Amino acid sequence: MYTTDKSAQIVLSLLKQYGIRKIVVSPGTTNVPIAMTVQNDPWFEVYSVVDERSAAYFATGLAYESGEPVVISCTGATASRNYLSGLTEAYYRNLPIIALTSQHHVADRRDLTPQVTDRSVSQNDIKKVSAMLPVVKDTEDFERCETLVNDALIKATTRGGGPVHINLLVDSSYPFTQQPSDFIARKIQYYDDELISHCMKDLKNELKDKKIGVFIGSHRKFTSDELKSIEQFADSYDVAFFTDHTSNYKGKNQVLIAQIFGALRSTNKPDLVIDMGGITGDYDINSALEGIDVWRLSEDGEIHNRFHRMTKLFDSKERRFFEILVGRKNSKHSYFKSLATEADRFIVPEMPLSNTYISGRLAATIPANSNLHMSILNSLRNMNFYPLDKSIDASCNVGGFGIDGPVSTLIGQSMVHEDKLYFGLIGDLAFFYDMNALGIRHVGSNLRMLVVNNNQGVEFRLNSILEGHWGEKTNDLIAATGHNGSVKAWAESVGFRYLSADNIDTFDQQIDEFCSPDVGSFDRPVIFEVFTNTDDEQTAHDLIRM
Amino acid sequence: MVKKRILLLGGTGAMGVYLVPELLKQGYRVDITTRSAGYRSGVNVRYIQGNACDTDFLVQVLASNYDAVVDFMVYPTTEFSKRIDILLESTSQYIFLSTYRVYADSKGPIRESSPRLLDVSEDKTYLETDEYALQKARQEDILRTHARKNWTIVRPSITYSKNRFQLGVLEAGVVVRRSLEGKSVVFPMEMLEKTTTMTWAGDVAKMISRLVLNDSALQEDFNVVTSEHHTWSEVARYYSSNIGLKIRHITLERFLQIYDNPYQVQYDRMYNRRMDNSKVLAATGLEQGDLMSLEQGLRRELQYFLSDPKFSDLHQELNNRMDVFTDVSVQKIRKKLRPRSRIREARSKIRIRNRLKDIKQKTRIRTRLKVLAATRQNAQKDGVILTMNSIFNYGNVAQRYALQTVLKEYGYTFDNVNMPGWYDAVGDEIFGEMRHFVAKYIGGVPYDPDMLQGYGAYIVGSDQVWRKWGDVDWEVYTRYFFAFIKDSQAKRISYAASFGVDSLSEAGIDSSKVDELGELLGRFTAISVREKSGAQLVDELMSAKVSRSSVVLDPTLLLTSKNYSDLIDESKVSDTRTARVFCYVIDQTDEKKRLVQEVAKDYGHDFYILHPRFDREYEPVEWWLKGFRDSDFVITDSFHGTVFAIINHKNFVVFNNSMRGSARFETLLDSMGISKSRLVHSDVTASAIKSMQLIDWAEVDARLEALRGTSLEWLQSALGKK
Repeated sequence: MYTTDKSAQIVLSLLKQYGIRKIVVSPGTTNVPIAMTVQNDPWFEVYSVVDERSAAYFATGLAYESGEPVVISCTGATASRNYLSGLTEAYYRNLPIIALTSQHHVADRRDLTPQVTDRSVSQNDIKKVSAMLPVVKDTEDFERCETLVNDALIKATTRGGGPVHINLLVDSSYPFTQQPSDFIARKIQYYDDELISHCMKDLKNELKDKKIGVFIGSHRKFTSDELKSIEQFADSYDVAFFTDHTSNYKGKNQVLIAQIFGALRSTNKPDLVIDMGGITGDYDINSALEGIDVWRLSEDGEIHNRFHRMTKLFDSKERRFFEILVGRKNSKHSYFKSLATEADRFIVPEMPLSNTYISGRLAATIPANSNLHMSILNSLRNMNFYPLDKSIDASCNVGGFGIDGPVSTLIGQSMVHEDKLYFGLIGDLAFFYDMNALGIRHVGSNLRMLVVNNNQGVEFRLNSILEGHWGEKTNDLIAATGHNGSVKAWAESVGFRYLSADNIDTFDQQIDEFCSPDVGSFDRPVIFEVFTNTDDEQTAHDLIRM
Repeated sequence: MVKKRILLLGGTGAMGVYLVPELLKQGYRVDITTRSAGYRSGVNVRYIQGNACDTDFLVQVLASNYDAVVDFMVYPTTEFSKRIDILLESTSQYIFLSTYRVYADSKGPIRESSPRLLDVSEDKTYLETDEYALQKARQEDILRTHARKNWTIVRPSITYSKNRFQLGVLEAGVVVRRSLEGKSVVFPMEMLEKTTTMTWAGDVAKMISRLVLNDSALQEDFNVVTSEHHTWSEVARYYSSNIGLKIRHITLERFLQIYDNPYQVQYDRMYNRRMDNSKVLAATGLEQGDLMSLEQGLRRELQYFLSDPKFSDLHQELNNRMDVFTDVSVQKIRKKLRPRSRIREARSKIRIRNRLKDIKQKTRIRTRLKVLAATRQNAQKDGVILTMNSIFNYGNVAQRYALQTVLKEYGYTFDNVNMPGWYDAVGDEIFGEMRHFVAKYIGGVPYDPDMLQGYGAYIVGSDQVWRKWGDVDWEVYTRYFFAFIKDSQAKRISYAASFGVDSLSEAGIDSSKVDELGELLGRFTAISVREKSGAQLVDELMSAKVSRSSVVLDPTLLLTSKNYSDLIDESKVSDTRTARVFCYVIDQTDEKKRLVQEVAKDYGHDFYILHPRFDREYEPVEWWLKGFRDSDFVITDSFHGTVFAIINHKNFVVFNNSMRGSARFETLLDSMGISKSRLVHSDVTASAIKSMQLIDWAEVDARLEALRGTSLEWLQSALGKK
């Protein structure tokens, strides 16, 4: 008999694909799906040890002697508590033990359900990772489950290896079939530098003749060496780089996601995605790359499965990865060229004064070699429609994704090079949250901040779902309309030069002055407050995406 | 302030793309109905998917009482009268899109008050039709006599836009496409000096957006046009300077032989159309100077269009008809030269002609020798197979493989003709695997009638060889009826030839050609077809009272699953993995994709959709075969997809594909004793599939075995036993 419980099937399928055969089972009801299936499956080499404490130590012996990973499986109640001493031993000796605990999925300890203990927290030194598998009810659960199990099995066997914990929630109706399942879960193949070099030929073959989209999330500044190896890679295959400003990518074949997939809604998808970098604020990318296989390049070696289609994980320095995979320089760049032709169709529409309009003007006017910091989220999104000169460094607090600190971050940045200009594009919600930062004594005259004041979190009025449900009613509590006044009094009181505009003409008249490339053109830091309104913001938001 | 809401019925066309942003700029909230998915809604713009011609849908949409409705739909007049009440009642302003074509011929510029064709035409036959100009005029009248007065009529002229470009009655798919392909555009010379008014869609949108919720527009009609006008020859010049348009002049009479709507020519394009737009300018506050000039507008829109040109196939037939003119015309061009150079030219022509004659004579002798050698060689073999060489189609390759293999097993040696086609120009980066397979298992001699003489037997089929696809050349089509064979003694056989459809007209065969085809068929020594309906068509062509043909199995069904399995195991794909739900579709749609995903839920989400496309390399044929063999469930819209589901005993459904021919599916399922419920439409659900009755494979096998026996016997007797 074989279990049809999806999460158990995923675990068992992946154990096989990782070549793990040895399993030590202790008696119980909640691990019946595992016990019953492995008992019938000739792949597994099953041992029965009744007492879990003994089972865990037994497993350390098996693992040490054979050099193979070993699974230990137990049920609910205090059973898993007895694994602790054996797992502690395994942790400090880097022995790959996979502790597969299980419990009833409807149970909650607060309901006084018998046999259920809280496994969400455990000692730091008994496992490298603890994966609490969900009950698989839909595709999302399914993908989550696959990712978690891959993560645990990779961690058990790489970077020195060691014990990991997987907790299984079990359907107490124990669904079974008589036939062995030929279900195969998606394995994420792990590569470290050594394995990349070893499999170089196959990997290169896989890259050949494919349209490759390298997606770069937010990224620190690339070093010139990194850029060189990336560009050599781009010359070897048919590559386009999908970026936004926070990607910081200044090399060849670069495509702005917001233009090509946001505004133009291109369906020109790559055949393979290489995903690198951190969190992105460019939401258009998710739907654009749906359904395409992903190779993830993680300098921290972690699975970051943002597109849920990862087939390979590369635990490598970015530069090293690209260097190894560089091939002969014979790319025709045809994929990039086809995207670039499409991007030519992006025309900035005529639109009213709005963050969208302001971003476009700022992007075109901001002097070379300056820095630009954008606040979450409308300012970032709008700026992402427009290309920036390659000499400009752009950044945004996409890590924690908060609106609470852009002014402080920008002022901090501006301390580093007094001879460079630091521009900010900050929305009113973000500005007033972080306004006290203007009082920092170190602020210099190289700081120029453009505050778009629409008198609310207009973000919430640009959300078509909210807008469809509530329209103006969103203003009260969701968009916080009318909380803040003008920046003027506070900015002037702390010694800032204050400019303002509330229509296109006055804005256009002052933007050149505001962007004057001479660091000494103002003797003080500058705030340029531009007042817009919701209607115009909405109109511009729609027009640029038509 | 709450935004006013405007509804556009069918507003994604040439004018809609400009009207939506104009309305947004005016501060409206805009909803647009459209039949296609894939439009993305914004904050103040919402696309509603549905067909506004469908009353239920319309009622549902109108229920949310818009402030104004702009109607881009085209309805038959009877249909329009049925829905006018609800249209007018649901909104405070209904803007009806009419056309400037309603107007009769006019000496001066046309005003709103100028006479209309419907009122003044004396052409009774025309008046009996509901042709566009009359249809719109009648619907205008329905509005004018309605009790509710909240309507506005707008009449655009010829309106060019992002993807619409006109020249006379011709559209972008002819004018721009042919220019880019370096072909001339056939145009009636009588029309060249007629005057036309072409208005830029952006200007039409500006006008309409300013008539929306404009009180002075109620119960009024407006010509939403520019007052700028040009002759068609001027318009043609703009096209030449932007896209290199070349015109081939012909008479109007001949033009009407290739163009289908004579009324549009006669009652519009052959008039001088100059427009007066003072009424709309006054109502909207626009000035003529604000409007785009034709020269500038065409340049701008063509530039945009050329960055990624896409054409619909709507004009394919007209293009084909034009090709006939332009190809011949090249030879007819005679340069008018001055006398002296004419003599010089005549002399050089004679020289060239003599040299050519000399060369021709030599080559003629050489060719004759080559033909003789080929004929002798051909006589050594048993025969040759002629079928379509659709290298882009797995089913075609599979059936060629099957027939060749069967013949080989019975000891016959047959050549296979590689019919030339467009696909020969496509490189190995796409068809490499397909060509490799053909070269390995099927082989091929080039199609050259001279070199194909002398075989003892000729087999045509299988596949839809007797379907006349589009405007295929008569010579090309009749190859499959052996029109080119000289030897009257050779065996002429069709094996499982197919028309694909149930009637001669659907198969593209004109009634005037029946006798010729009947005569050709009369020379056949044995005829078999794949479908029952095909047998009837053969009789129809031959005017035969007693049926002259037999129905046999498609060649792929003559082999067993073991044959194919061995083929797979010998190939390099033998250890690759395919999926549990294997889906082979020729026409991909979202519905099909969704269904596959639904069905695959029961199979661990393990599915693969093989949808051949010409922008990437085809998988090997063996891999395609393996897809069926190693699956648990097959979804397909292909005949051969169905065949391989059956051969491999796989649970399956097949999407009916009436465009590509549905008769073949029905005959196939019928002959295997499989319920027709397996033949599904795009609205089928996964749960319906789940509840389908299981297929009795023992029964299928028994029938298949019997049919295999009779088919093979038929083939052997047609060829003579070896």
